[in-house]
Parts: sequence; C-alpha cells; structure tokens
Amino acid sequence: MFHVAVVGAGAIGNPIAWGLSLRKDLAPIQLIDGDVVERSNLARQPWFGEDDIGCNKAVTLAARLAGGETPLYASPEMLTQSNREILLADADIVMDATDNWEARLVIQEWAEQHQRPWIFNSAVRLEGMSTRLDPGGPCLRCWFDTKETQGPACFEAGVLGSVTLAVAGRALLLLDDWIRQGSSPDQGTLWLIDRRFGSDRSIHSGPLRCDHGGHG
Amino acid sequence: MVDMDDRVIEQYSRQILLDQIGYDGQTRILAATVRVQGPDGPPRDLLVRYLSAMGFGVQVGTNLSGYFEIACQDAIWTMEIGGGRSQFMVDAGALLTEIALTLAQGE
Repeated sequence: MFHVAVVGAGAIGNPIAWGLSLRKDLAPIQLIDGDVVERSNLARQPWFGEDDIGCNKAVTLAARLAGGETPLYASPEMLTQSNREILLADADIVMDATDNWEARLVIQEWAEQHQRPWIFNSAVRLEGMSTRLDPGGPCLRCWFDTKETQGPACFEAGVLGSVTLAVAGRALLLLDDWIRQGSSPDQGTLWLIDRRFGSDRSIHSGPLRCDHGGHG
Repeated sequence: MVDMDDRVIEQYSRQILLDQIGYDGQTRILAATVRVQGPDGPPRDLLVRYLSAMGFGVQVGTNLSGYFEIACQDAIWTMEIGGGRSQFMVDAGALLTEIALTLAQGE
C-alpha cells in the first residue's frame, strides 16, 4: 500500500485529506503542518471550527477525519531542508498543499534525490493549478521558467474555498492515475482551474526531460 | 443587510478581498439561505460543509435521488451524481464557485 504524505493541512490540505481518508487502498496518511488554525482560515478550511483556533492544523485535521477508511497521523512541524529526510522517510508520493514556493522547492529537491513523484497544487483568487511531477519529467522550473516564482498570496489577493476544493479534486485525480498507471515522465500535464473557461483546461509539456536536477 | 463586525470580517476576509464578492457580496451571502437536496452521504455532506463555511445558511433535504439540487429563492443549480469522488470534488468546486459569485452579486 502506498504511503501518501500531505504537506500542508490548510485550504488544499483539508479536502485532500478528506478524499484520501475515504480510500481503502492506502497506508496511514501523513499530514505535515506546523501552522495553527486562525479565524481567517475557517471560510475555506471547513473541517476546522471556532473551537480549533490556535490549535495545530495537522493534529486537528487528523482527529477530525478519524473514523474514515484509512487512519491519518499528524507531523506538527513545518517541512524544511533540515527535517525533510526524517519527515518524508516513508513517503511514496507527496501531495503539495502548501502556500509557498520555498516549501515546494524542499519537496522538489527531496523528490529528485529519492526519485519519487509529487503533486504540485496552488490556488489564488478564482484560479488554481495542479500537476504531477514525475521523476525525470518536467520540474517547476521547466513549467514556470524561473527559480523563484512566487505569485500573490491569498492573504493579499483573496481566494475561495470552492476553488481550493476543485484543486484538491484535481490533485486526487492525478493521484488516482499514478496509483493505477505509475509515473509517466515523458509527458507532464498542467491543469488549470479557472471559472472563465467553463471547465478545466490542461497544458501538455510534450516530451521533455528535465535537466535542472531538482534545483527548480 | 447583515452588519459584519470585526470578527466576521476577519473570518470571511479572503472572500471579501475578491473583486467578485467584496464587502457587499459577503453580506448577501451571509443573508442568504440555500437548500441542498440529494441523497444522504459524504457528497452531500461536502456540499453542505463548504456552503456553510462560505457563510450561507443551509437547509438540507433528502427527497431527491440521482442528483443534487441547490436552490436559493428562484435560482436553482443541479449536479449529477457519478464519476467518482475526486471528480465530484472538481465538479462541486466549480458549481459552488458559480453559486457563491451569483448570490454575492444579488439582484
């Protein structure tokens, strides 16, 4: 059974963890987050309530989703370069539910070193993105052509919980594909969630072998 | 109109920041009650959970099978059941975005 680690237990991590907890084919699910619940999270992190304000997100979410098909456990720490080997030691695949580029680069370097896939996710305003990054396939730099892509944060630009829900669903579809078919490094697909399109759009990278060596 | 105090504004601040919702839109959301009908189970619970979190009042009904219906006064949205849980999340996200933006705009 695959061990899935979810980095971030916030707006994207909430519904990802919910979806994972209802699957029967996974090892216990790891939730990694050192952050605490704030009032401004409640509108789009709906497994948290007022009584949870000030409590660790990973611990609270694992408790809230207990009783599903697969148990969850919390690692109440921020993922960093110095703890990534310990925190991700068991992970077969990592779901990015962070809100910052720095954490994504930590995941990406770990993934490159261990030749493991990970699923990038982001959401701001009414737009979201999701893509699976398989070993040998396109990395963040291949997709975004920069080392330091940092778009507007949701505390500056706003975001809607339904958008983060849709991104989480897309991420879980990408996980479903990986569980069924394994990695496919020769072609990456970037999914775009944007209400202006009417339905989700995807961009294909075509055959592309990454030569950035994980230093996205 | 619902008057929002500082705590309420903080709670919905990321929605209020959106041009398509704003302060007035959030007050309309808080004043609106939506009716969610459809079969009992995790998918309906998910719709109710997200609508409530956004600030809507939510009533739940079970007298429908095969699809979900979300209604607010004269506006009605429907959603087919099927396609698996992950696809449901994608579709529900898109529908709830549409509902929130429509009801935030008011008449």
